[in-house]
Amino acid sequence: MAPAVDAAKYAADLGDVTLAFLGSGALLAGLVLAAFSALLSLWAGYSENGVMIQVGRRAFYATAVMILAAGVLLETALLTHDFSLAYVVEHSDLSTPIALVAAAFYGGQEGSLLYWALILGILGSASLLASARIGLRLAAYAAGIMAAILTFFLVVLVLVASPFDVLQITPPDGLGLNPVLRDGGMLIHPPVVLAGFASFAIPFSFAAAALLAGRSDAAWIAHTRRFALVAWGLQSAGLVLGMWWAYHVLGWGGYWSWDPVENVAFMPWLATTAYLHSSQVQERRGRLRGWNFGLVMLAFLLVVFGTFIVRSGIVPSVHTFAVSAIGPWFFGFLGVCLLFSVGLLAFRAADLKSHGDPAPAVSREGAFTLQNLLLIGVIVVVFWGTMLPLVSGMVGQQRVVGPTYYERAAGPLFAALLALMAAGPLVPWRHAGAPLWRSLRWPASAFAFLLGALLVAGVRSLPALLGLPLALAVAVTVVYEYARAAGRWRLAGGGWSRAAALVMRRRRHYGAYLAHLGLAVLVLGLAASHFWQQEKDVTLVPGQQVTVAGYTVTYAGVQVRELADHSELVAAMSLGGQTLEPARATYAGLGGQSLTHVAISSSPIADVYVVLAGTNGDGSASFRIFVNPLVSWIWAGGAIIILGVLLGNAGERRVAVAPVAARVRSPVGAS
Amino acid sequence: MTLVVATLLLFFAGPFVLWPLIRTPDENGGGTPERLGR
Repeated sequence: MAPAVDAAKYAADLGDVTLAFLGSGALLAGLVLAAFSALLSLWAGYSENGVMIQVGRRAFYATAVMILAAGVLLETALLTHDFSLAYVVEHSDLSTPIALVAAAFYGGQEGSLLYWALILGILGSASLLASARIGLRLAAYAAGIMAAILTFFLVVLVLVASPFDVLQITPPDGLGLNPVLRDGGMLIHPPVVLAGFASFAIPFSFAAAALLAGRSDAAWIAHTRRFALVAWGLQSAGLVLGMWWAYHVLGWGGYWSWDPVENVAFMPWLATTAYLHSSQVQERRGRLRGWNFGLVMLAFLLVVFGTFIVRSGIVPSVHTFAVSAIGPWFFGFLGVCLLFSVGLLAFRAADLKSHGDPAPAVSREGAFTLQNLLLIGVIVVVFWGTMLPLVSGMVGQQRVVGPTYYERAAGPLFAALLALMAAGPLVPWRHAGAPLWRSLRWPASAFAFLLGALLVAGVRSLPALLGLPLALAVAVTVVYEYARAAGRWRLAGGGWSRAAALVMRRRRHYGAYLAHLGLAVLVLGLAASHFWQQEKDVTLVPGQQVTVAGYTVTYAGVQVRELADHSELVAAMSLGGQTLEPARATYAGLGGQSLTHVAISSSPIADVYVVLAGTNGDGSASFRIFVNPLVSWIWAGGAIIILGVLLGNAGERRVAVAPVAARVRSPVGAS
Repeated sequence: MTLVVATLLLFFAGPFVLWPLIRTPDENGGGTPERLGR
């Protein structure tokens, strides 16, 4: 029997080793193809060689397939508990639920980089397939730049952070996933936010390609805008899901702490928000061309900067799940991208000057320009707050700023942005006349009404007195716009098919307003939960009750529950007819690491949020109880924003491209 | 071993990637110059 057992073990070992070699082989082949695609596409674009442009593009598709193969192999290794791979040992174990084992694909440094490269490969391929109308040369440059970015990621994956490194000795079990990551949120927040980060490379590549090709017309805007909207939508979803996860998992009653990692995800979102608005000025009025290129490039540079910050661990953060030695690589990459972007903009500066009269101050383009300046102001505030620990550490004592800094510095800018959101959509292009003041009466009345109501209710906090009425005014502006559309629809005779046609004809318009409405709902939730959160620390014996902000909670007792990978100390509480079970989980297999499990009773009015702080020998337990008004509005607002993005991006509007100049050389081999 | 796997994968990807160079002149549109948008 012994030889048979040895043979089976040998075959199993060979299978494991083959999987690792297949994975690293796929990455190496992907690296060769990506580098080939980058060099060939850039050269073929420059020399206008149509055949070679196609070869370069196909090499990009093949790179994406290689990365996909590597991804499938890594997922297979995780799901089959192949502990010969260091990555599988470090990020999973036999007791982890299978869905979380699958999610370990992006739970660690190497896997998340592979996931990033995979998204870039897939979205990049999609963008190239959709680029038929923007011209082969521009698409060739874009393919070259995307392939160059992929080459960087594959160099890191092959040389520095391979997910396919094999251990000398195969352990019987893995170390398991970080307890904070063992949550349903792990299945949705990281993949969305990482996909958002990866997708900013697409608009960047097309913007840089347009500059390389000497194209600053509206065609690149139309193509880039769609992918910028995809990136913006993914990042919006990623940010809101991150807030939702932090709120449900971390147990401090909040959802946003101005942590460096939150900040670096927020900044590209701000830059792309600015671009989505300023690009309309170029489409309508041919202005802000250089500015638009700058914004798209800034968003990508902020993504690379953010990745450097997160992965290098140079700034203290709560998100230190995946810190490693790849920081210097990303620093170098950031430097190259920065030099490339600035150099390209400087090279084409003369072609990017706007012509014609300056925009009038009170006009749609004036509102967009002001909005862009305010958003850049917010980026500067957030960037400085994020970098201060690093900068101050270099010149002396390290200083860290808290939420107060961000609220004081960025608060007035956010208020001005909300005011612009309320008024801007009603301001016509070119110039404003008397009709503007008539249409402004609705948001202005809503603002005055809520301001008055809050004053009567005794509210004296200036941020609350500004934030809530302004958010309501934004919502009223959107409703007013939809009401005007409904009026036109009724005049045209009504009917569902006509309504659908009306919406689809101006889907960008109505999608954008839906996103505005979502943001207004989200801001109402943020403001109410921020200004009127109530909190109470209590110690209760079984049967005792406590009332916080009108909500009465009764404590029944505690019990211990044993689960697959951890044990839980669960407190039973009742709120009306509802049972709440805040708990503390202990992971014996992870050195006794402990984690709180929050119990939340959610309603559209308020959340009752209970944290079990600890238990005592006499059966009593200590709790921290929060009542958070309108928190569910934040998640609803996020969902409405995504609906707006989907509506705005549904289908494709045909892009009017100016006739191509006849300055075209024949490809190699053409007669 | 990694090098062998990578070489094999590149060998398999070759025909797909190089297809625009491999195909015959007729398939290439009879040698008609491809129009490049700028």
